[in-house]
Amino acid sequence: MSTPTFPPSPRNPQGFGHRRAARPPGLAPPHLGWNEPAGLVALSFTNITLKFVTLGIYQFWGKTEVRKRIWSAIRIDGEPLGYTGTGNELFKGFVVVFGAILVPLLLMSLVLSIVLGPAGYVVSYVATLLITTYLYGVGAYRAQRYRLTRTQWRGIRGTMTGNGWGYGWTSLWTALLIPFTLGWIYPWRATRLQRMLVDDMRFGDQPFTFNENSGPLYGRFIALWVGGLILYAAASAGIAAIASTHMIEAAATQKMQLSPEGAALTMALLLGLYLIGLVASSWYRAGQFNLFAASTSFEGVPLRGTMTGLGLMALTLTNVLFVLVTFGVFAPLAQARSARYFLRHLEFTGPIAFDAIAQAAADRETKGEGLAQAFDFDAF
Amino acid sequence: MFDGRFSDGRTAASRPVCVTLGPDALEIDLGEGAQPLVWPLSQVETAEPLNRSAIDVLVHEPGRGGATLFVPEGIFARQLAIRAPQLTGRAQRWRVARVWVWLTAAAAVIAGIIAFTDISPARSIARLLPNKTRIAIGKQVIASMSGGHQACESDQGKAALAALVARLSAASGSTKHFDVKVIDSGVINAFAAPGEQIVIMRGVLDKAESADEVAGVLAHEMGHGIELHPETGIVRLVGLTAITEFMLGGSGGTLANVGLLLTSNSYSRQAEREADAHALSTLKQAQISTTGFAAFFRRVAKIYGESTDQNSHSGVGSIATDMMRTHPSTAERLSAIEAVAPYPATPALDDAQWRALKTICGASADGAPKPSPRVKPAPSQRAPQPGTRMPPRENQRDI
Repeated sequence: MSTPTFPPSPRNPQGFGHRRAARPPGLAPPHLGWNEPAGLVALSFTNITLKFVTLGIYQFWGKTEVRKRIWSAIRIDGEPLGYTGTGNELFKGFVVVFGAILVPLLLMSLVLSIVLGPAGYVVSYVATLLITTYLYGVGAYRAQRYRLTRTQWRGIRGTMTGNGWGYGWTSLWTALLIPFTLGWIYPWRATRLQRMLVDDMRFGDQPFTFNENSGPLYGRFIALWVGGLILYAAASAGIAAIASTHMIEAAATQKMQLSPEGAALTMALLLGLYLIGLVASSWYRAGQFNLFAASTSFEGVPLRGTMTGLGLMALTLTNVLFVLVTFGVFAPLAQARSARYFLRHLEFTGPIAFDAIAQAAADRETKGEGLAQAFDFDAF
Repeated sequence: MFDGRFSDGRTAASRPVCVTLGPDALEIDLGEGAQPLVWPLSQVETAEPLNRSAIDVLVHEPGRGGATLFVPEGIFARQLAIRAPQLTGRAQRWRVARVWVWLTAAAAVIAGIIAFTDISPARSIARLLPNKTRIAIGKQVIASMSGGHQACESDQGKAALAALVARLSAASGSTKHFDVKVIDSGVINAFAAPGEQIVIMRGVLDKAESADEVAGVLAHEMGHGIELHPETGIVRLVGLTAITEFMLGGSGGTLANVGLLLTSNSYSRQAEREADAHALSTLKQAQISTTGFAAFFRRVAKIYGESTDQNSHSGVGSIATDMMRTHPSTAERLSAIEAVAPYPATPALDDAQWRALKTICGASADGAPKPSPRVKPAPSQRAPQPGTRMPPRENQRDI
């Protein structure tokens, strides 16, 4: 990683002391850097303590402070991003979604069950599934819009030009097609949804553009799909073999059950499957990240992604262990590690004329990412 | 004097500036003979709360459009924290948290009052439910609990059951009208559903050796109905779920679910004790002996391999198991039943009625009731069939 440099200032004509001489602005690509945030361990403990003593309510403010730290760690040409969202906004967004969506959904399924009898379960289950899938999509879009409008660099905000309803609809109908296409719509779907997100993104008054082409993803997808089938068959055969050789009769119930060695073998088999699945999906996700990066341009300059399957796998595995071992207390550190990995494997391929980018006159949302919160997912 | 970079908030350009940190204002020297900008320290905000390890600061002043000032020097950050302490993480966190900490303390006090007195918000709401609603919910609970098994309809059996219900109702001291059904399932279970509806599984009749035993079970379930336990349980479950979901930001965690279960179970054990107390007083009023009730408990406990010895329930391990129970231990319940002094009693039903009740679900050719299921009932059979939507704990009332 090269050190970011600063042009000279009135007091320091050579630029900042230990750093290398300034490079002429506008000719080199902007440098994406990461400035390790300090104090995240202490912050993790503070947040979890306050979350406990406030029965969970403080989580919205805790999350906001973690974001402020992570955003500030991200440097473009040495200057930090700023996160201007507030815990209050997240809290309000959650309350609105809780009252306007979760409670009505709960009441709907209750009423349907009472009015329609057992058929009501099916109706309310299907209806709830459709509604939540749709809202999950809308929520993903809205969450990104919320975060972008709260992100600024050199005082210029990001924004999204759409409202997410169309995105929610596309995400719903393509999701419904997944079983009918045996999953083959998946890469196309991911690319289409990514295009809808990126094409609506703005930094100041300048748009991002996305060149939609899911073709390159299908190579990895076919390998994953066929490999998955083979793995499934092999795993079934393995479990059948274990079951046929390691059954014993339980003394108390006279029922057949797995012997302890059989249970251990099954666990080992499942763990092995998880690891193979993790390697394969990391390889796929790294390819997708790099393709999406290369398909994204800002001011005509494409990005470049340099993630590798192994790198992404190592990150995922260590983060999962990290969060599990600490019961989620250190989730902010895992979040920072992900952001760092993301930043280190993303770069601009050409110069950007930042001087020409002006602030956009866009509406600011007043409520946080309630929908995304309700469906429990988050960026990074 | 510090070096910084200034952006005016109109374009994404930035330029070098000199910054002076005064006692109550920042002075930004834009150079080129321009008038310096003055940002009062009481107005400025920082992109992240100031902390000791900060190596730089991004400052903005909300009143000045989107203008920002980046000062990449740790000394500046520390001096700013001293002059504008409201910008430190500690100050900002506490400003938000203290409100919620006080509210939480207040909520804890209210919860304590509810726990240590007889005030029950769930029961008050349950009382407000109209009869039609209670009956409709009850029918759903029964449908989901009976796992597709049909109600038994033999005329003589129903007449015998009606006679038993009438005798117990008259003795219960309540004006409620109970709707009791036998469901053709071998599971040894009975439960009260909302709307004074009671279901007895055929397994109970198969295992019972006298009408007195069934009378005990029925009186217990009627006790639940009189106390509105099924309705209260559903209201409480919905309420507690809503509260936990809310507290956890909609992402209900495992720990919270365990807490919810333990809380529900503790209410449930209390309800079982109340129902047992009702059962004993009803049986006494009806002049039906309680020995049948006790005998049935012993037999079921034996089938499930549970201890009936009061002394075996001591020590930490058994406190943990007790917390996992929806019912008090059989030993505890038996000792309460057996503490009742004997009183003059008559059989709950005459022999002909008892035979009719036993065969309410139809009889085999020799007149004996249907045989019990071949496999011994395992404890898991007490749980509703997989796929039923209603959670098993609170809306059902097992014996």
